[in-house]
This record gives sequence, C-alpha cells and structure tokens, in this order.
Amino acid sequence: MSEPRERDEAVDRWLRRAKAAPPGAGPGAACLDAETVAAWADGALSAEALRVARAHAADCQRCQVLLAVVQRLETGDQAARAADRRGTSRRWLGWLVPLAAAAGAVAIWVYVPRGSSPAVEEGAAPVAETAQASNAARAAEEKPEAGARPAEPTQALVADAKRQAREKERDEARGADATSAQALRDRAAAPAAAAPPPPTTVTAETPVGRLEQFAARSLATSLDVASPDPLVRWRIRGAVVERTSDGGKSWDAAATGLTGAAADLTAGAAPAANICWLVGRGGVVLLTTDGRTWKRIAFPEATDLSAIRATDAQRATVTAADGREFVTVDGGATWTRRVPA
Amino acid sequence: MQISARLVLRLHRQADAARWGVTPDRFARALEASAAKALAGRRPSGRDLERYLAALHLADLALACACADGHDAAWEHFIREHRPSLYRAADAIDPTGGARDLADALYADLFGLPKADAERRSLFRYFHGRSSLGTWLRAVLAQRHVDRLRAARRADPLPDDESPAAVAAPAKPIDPRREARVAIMTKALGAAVAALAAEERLRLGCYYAQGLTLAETGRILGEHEATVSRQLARTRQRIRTEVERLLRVEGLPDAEIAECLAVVVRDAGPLDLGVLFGDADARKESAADRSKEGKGL
Repeated sequence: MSEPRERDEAVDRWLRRAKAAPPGAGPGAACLDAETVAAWADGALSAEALRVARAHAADCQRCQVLLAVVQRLETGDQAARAADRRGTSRRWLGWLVPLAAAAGAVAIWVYVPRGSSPAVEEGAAPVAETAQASNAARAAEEKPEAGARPAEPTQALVADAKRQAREKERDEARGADATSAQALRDRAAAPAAAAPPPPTTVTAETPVGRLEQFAARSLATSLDVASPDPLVRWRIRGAVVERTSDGGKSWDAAATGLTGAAADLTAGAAPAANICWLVGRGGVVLLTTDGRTWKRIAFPEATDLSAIRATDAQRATVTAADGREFVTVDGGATWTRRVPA
Repeated sequence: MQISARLVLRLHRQADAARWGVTPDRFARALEASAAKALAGRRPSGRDLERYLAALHLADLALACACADGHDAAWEHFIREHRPSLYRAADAIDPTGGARDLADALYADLFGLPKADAERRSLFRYFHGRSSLGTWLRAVLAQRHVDRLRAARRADPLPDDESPAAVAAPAKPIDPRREARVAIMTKALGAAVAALAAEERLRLGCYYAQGLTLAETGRILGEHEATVSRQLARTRQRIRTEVERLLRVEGLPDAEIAECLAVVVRDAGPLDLGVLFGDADARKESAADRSKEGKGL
C-alpha cells in the first residue's frame, strides 16, 4: 500500500466498511421540512435556498437520512412510471393491430370497385372483415379502460380516508398522543372495511438490525433489463435478481450472493433471452448464461460501474462512472481499456 | 405579498382551478402563502414574483386547495391518482408493511377534521406547489417514517446487564494495539472530515453513510454522476493526506501509518458514518481535541 493511489482506495474501503446507524438525535429548529425536501428533490429551490439547505444537511444526520429516503423513493417512482409508460405503449401496440386491420378492410371496401369484379359476390368478405376488425378494436378499446381503473372503487377509498380521519379524531378525543406508537397500534387494531396489512409498529422490541438495514439499504429500487425476447426480462431489487419469461406475469428470483455496498447494481444488458450481464458499484460484474445462476466476473478495478453494452456472453463493454470504458471478448476472463478514438 | 388580480386570474385559468370549484380568491391566498414561504425575508420585484408563481405546480396546488376545502370530486381524483403511488412508496420504505399505517394516517391528516371552531385543518395547507404533489406526499411520508425511527431509537432501552442478549454476547478478544490504532484513525478521520467544506461532507454522507448511488447523490448535489465520482476521489485523497499528516504530527512513522490504515480497512471498528458526516458536534469535539493538543490528535 505504498502508492498514494492505493492508499486513497484504502480510504474508500475503510469508509465502505463502516456502518451508519439511524439518527437518534431530535430535530433541530433549522431541520428541513417535507415541503423544502420535496422542492429540493424536484429541483425547485432557489440558489440561495439550496445553499442554506445544503449547509444544514451537511451537518444534520436526520436530514441526510430524510434526503436519502426521498431520493430513493423518487428513483423508485421514476422506475415505476417508466414501467407504466412501457405498459401503455404495449397497450397502444395492442390497439394498433386491430385498428390497422380495420382501416385496411375499410379501404378495400371503399376503393375496390364493386361492380367490376367478383368482389360483388365476395363483398360479404370485406364487410365481415370490417365487422370483425371493429369488434376486435372495440374489445381492445374496452380492455385498457377496464384496466385503467383501480381495483378498489373510488367511493370506498374516499370513505376509507374519511373513516381514518374520524378514527384519528376519536384518538385525539381520548387524549391519546396521535404520534405515539400506542395510538398507531390503536388505529391499526380498529376494524376497517379495507384494512391495510397489519402494521409493524416500531417499538422498543424492534430489532436494531432492521433499523440499521433501513439506514444502509432498506429502499431497494428496481432496475429493469429487457432482452431481445419481449417475454423475457430481468429486474434487480437490491441483491436479488428476478427474471420473467412471461412478459412480467410471474417472476423467478435468484440470489446473486452480493451483500452490502457490492449489492448496488446499476445497469444491465441482455443480448439474449438466457444471457444477461449486470454491473454495479465497486467493480461488480455478474453474468448469467442460463438465465438462472449468476457468476461474479473478476474486474480489474474496484471502481463504480455505470453502464454496460453486450453482444453475447463473450463480448461486453463496461463504462465506469468516471467515463472510462473496458472491453472483454472472452466472457470477462480478460479486460482491456478502450482508448477513446 | 400582494399579487395582481390579473396574474391571479391567469394562473387560476392555467391551473384549471375552476374544475374543482376553487375560486380566484381562494387560489390567490394559496399563491400568497407559497410566495411568503419561499421568498421569506425578501422583497421580490414584480417580475421575480411572477416568475416564481408561474413555475409552481399550479394544477397540483389547485387540487390541494380543493381537497383541503373538502371538495368531494377533488378528493376522489386525488385518491385515484395518488393513493397507489403513496402505497408503493410506503412499501418501498418498509417492505414488511410497517409504513402502510403511516400512509393511512397521512390520509387522515390530509382529509383534516373540523375542529371545535369548525375550521377544517388539513395537512394540505403545507403544500405550496414548489414540488409536484406526488413528490411532496412521498417527502411527508419519508419524514414521518424517519422521525418515527428516531423516536423508536430514543425509546430503545439500554441492554440490561443480565439480559439474555447481554449474557449471550460472546466476549471478543481485545487486542489493545489494534484498538489503539482504530481509535487514533477514527479520531484523525473525524478531524479530517471536519476540515472539509459542507458540500464535500454532504456528498460523502449521501454516498457512504446513506448508501445512495452516484446518480442519486448527484441528483441531491445537482451534479452529474461522473462529477460526483471525481469529487469523491478528490475528497478521499484530501482525507487521506490530512489523516497521514495528523498521524505524522503525532510522531508515527510511515510504516506504522500504513499499518493503521490496513487495520481500519480490515475492520473499521465502531466508526459511525452517520455521526461522522452528519453530526457537527461530534466533529467539533475532534477538532477541539486536536487544537487543544497543538494540531495533533
């Protein structure tokens, strides 16, 4: 460890080894409120407000945790919205086929001269096609409308919110501290038409490990990797990689064996339905060639990797967070640095 | 902060606030409250004020006003649009379902209740339209979750000396030399971090203590992830240089410094990054100790 660069990397490993317990101190008067944190997350704070907020957060463990939680939630929400958009575009594709068929049938019906060919007798065919196509189009039209509605009727949801408000009022009337764990337990124990799953109240018996886990990485965000087969794709949730082979109806999970910071996977590429490369922080490279089991590929540097392109199980190009690219043509046995053109 | 009637009407129209029965007067009050919070202590020009207001999430602000006032259709719309996302956030915060009750309680607070003076007090009054309604809801949920964790942690009893956990805890063999090395390195690290700029500490805290990715850290700092990576590398170098300097001041030879670094790389000991990067008081102690002992440790 004689080189300065090696010693710098040792500092990196030292910090990675250390733990971060959740904050225990109370909020200060200058602590950021949710509105400010939300505006920060949306990039809506003025330069001066941002400077003040950063200066505070740099010295406030509670606000750092809050910022981190919100940032992870935003990442997760963006991923969910992207998945929704992909679903929407697939629904549009579902529309396009019957619509195109219907348009084609109408065009044939309109433009083909009725009296000039046997089509007069066969005229029934295009009409039947048109009817069939328009039925298909209608069916396709009805499907997304039905799917767009939430499972629970809106009236019930409104009633549920009102019920919760009434319950809270009762709690307050009883003099209960609405923020205490007991009040939360009371509320959860009250009978409800659409009761949420039993809450796990955070009390003295809550395992400390869970709290630490929260501070370290409780908010796994999902990363989707599509393959050339539209039915097959992977998604990464923390250290677990899931694969679907039926377009997302069911998912099979497989552990990668990664733990801690190494479980931070950042990108993936699937050049075939059974081949997928994943990269992450600290030089993590994973490869599966059967779609199920994952092999850790040795990478020359413990640097953060941010992107990967792959053409098959042998050839891949990995991009480090600092922009450098590394290429392998032998399934990761050797890597060479790509010199920019 | 006075907003011209013409501007209010334009923003009211832009927000389609009439859809929820929000009057221009009501909307004007919401706009004024928003400007008063964001521009507190400043006297913005008419142009600055207009620019600020035009950049707000006006449709969300109108919806929040209507929900706060108990408009049924607005409530239906709000619940249909935002409940799935809020529950998704609750499940992401705590996959065991522990945050669902927080989300439900949040709905109750958002709905608000007529108090004895018949005034409805909805949580929506704290939404000012600077962010989207969805981001604000997630931030409120996150805030409640973090504060609940903090409260739970404060309430955690210290382990009883005779408790099964305490009795069962295996006695760790103590290596005094190793303990001393870890202690001196932790102290030197605290002093080195105290000397960093606030932005550097925040970057380190987000990345190492909170475990955010480079991209997420970059979004908080307003930097590209490659910039975050470069800045982290620079900061690590500064920390290493400062730690080595401090240890040399203590009279440690280079070989011993290298050994100290090797020890903490193997096991960082009781070092708490949350405190290191997020607790100014703890760092001040380090810095005070350091100055007391003539810039040494």
